[in-house]
Amino acid sequence: MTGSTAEHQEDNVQSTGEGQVYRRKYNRYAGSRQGRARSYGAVIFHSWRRALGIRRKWTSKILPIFLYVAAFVPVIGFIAVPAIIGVDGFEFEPYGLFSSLSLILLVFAAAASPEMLCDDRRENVLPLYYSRGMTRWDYLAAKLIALGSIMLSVSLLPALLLFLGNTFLQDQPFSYLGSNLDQFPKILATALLLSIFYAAIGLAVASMTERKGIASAILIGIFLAGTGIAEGLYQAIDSDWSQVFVLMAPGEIPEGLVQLIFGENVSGSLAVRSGIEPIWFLASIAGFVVLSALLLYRRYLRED
Amino acid sequence: MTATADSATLTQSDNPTLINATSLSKHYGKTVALDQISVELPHASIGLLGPNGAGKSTFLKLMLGLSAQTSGDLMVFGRDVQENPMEIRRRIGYMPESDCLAMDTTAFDFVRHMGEVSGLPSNDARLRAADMLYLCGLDEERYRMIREFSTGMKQRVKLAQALVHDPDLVFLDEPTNGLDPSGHDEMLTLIRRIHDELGIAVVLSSHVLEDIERVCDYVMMIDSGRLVGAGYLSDLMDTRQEITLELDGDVESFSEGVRRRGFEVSGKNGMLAVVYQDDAVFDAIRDAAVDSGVAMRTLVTRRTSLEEFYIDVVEQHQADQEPV
Repeated sequence: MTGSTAEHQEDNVQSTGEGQVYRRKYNRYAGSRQGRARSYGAVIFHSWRRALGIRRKWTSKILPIFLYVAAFVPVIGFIAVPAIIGVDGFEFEPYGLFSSLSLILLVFAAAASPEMLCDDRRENVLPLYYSRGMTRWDYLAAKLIALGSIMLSVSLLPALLLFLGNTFLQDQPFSYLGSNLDQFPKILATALLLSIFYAAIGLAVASMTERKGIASAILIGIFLAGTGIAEGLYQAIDSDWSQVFVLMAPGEIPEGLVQLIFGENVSGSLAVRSGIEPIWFLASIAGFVVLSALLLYRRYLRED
Repeated sequence: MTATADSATLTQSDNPTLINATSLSKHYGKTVALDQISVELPHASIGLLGPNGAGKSTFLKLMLGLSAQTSGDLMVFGRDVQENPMEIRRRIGYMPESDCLAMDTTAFDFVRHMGEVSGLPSNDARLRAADMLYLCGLDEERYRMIREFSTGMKQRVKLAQALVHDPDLVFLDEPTNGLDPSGHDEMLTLIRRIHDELGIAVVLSSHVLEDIERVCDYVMMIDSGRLVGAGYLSDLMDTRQEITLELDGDVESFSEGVRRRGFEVSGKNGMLAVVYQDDAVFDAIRDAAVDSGVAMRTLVTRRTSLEEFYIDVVEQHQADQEPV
C-alpha cells in the first residue's frame, strides 16, 4: 500500500513480525498551512507547467521548446562562431537582439497566455480558486507573475547571455565589463518592460474568450493588423498629429523602447523614421498596460 | 421544530451555531434571489432544499463570500463573511454543481494542486490528495486523465478536492447530478460518512428530497428566495406522523368522536387517517371506537415523507403570499 498521512498514525499500524499491515483511514490534517503565499506559488507553478507543456502530452511541449531554441540559438551562434573562428573584438550589441526577440515574445505570449486563462474559464475552475484562500486579485496577480516571468526568461536571459558572451570574447574581459556595465540595467529595463507589455496584452486578450486558438489569433491579429492599420493611417494623413498613430501600433513599441533606453536606432522602422520623441513610447506602453488592466478588471474583478 | 418564514431555532443544544443569517437578501438588478432570510444552522449535516431557481446556489455563494449580499448579515463559524472571507474560506470545502475540473490533467495532480492552493505544503498536499481520492473510491484511477472519467468518477474528484485541505465545513451543490442509480447511492453513502465518521459539517444543496432525507439531520427549505422552514429532520417528521385506520361499522360516528376529542381525521369508506400530535391520540381512537362500536381491522402509524411535508409547507407559504 502506498504512503499516506493516515499511515503515519500509530493506531493504524499492526506489526506482524515480518512486515507491517497499515489500516488506511481518514485523519484530520495536523500539518502546517502556509497561507496566501503558498496559494500564489501553487498557481504560478501550475501556470508554468501548463504554458510550457510540463506533465502534458508531447505536442504541448513542441512550441515552447521551439521558441526557446529560437531565442537562444542565434545568441549562442553570435558567441560561438567568433570564438571558434577566432575573430578578436567581435561584438553583437544586445539592443539589436531585442528587435528579433520581440517577435518571439509575441508568439510566446500568443501561445502561453491562453494556456493560463482560457482553460480555467472554460472548465469553470475559477470558483474553486475563489472559494479557497485566494481572491480574484490574487488569482490574476499570480497569472501575471507567471506569464511575466516566462516572458522575462525569453527576453532577459538571451540578452544577458549575449552580454556575457561579448565580455568573454574580448581580449580584456574585465576591462570591457567595467566600461560597459551600464548595459546591464538597460538590458534589464528593456526586458522587464517588454515582458510586462506582452504579458498584460496577452492576458487581456485571453480573458475575452474561452477558446485558446481564438485568443492566440486575436493577439497576433492585434499586433499585425493594428500595426499595419496604424502605419497606413500615419502614411495617409499628412499632419503633425498623425504621429500618434505610430504610438498606437503595438508592433512599433519594442523598436521605440530600444531607441529610448539604448539611444540606438535598430533599423529603419517607423518608430525611428517618424521622429517621435522616444519617451512617448514609454507612455504608449503604459497606455496599453492600463487598457489591458481595465479589461482584466472588467472580466475578473468586477463581482456578479 | 419548524421555523417558518423568518426564524429558526435549534432544538439540540450540543450543536453550536455554524451559520447565522439575519435578514439576508440578495438582489440581481430587479430580481430578488434571496429575500430577508433569517436562520441559525447548527453543526450538522444540513440539507438546503428547494426547487431549481429557489436561491440555494445564491445562498451557498454568499456563505463562500463569492458574492456580496445586498443587505443583512451572514456569519459562518461566528465570523462575518464579508469582513473575514479568507479566514472562513480556509475552513470550507466547496463542490460546485457544474463541471469544474481541469480535463487535461490527472485526478491526482488536480486534487494535489487544489490542496496546494489551499495552503498545504507540497508533500502534505500530495499525501492528502492520495488519501482523499482513496476515500472517495478513486485509488486505482487517480493517475488517469480526468477527461477519461465517467460522470460518477468526476463527481468523486470534485468531492476529493473539496476535502483535500481538511475543511470543517463542506458545501456540496447538487452532488448527485448526472449519476446512475449505483453511483447515486454510493455518493450519498460517502456524504453521510463525511459527517458521521469524519466529523465535517455538511451543507448539501439539492432539489432531490429523497437525498436530503437520507443524508441530512437538519433541513432548511427555500422557495422563491424566501425561507419557508428549517429544523431538525427528526423533529419535523415527528410532528408529521399520521395514523391510518381501517374500520368496519359506523365510521362517521367514529370520526366525529375522534374530532370531538381534538384530533384531525380525514378519509372515507372505512379508511381513515388521523393526524398524530402526541400519544393521547391512541386513547382518543380507543375511546371513539368503543363509543361508536366500530371494528378496527388495522391501525398503522405512518411517518409523512419529507416530500409531503415540503409540499405542504411550500403550498402554505404560497397561500400566505397571495393577496387577500
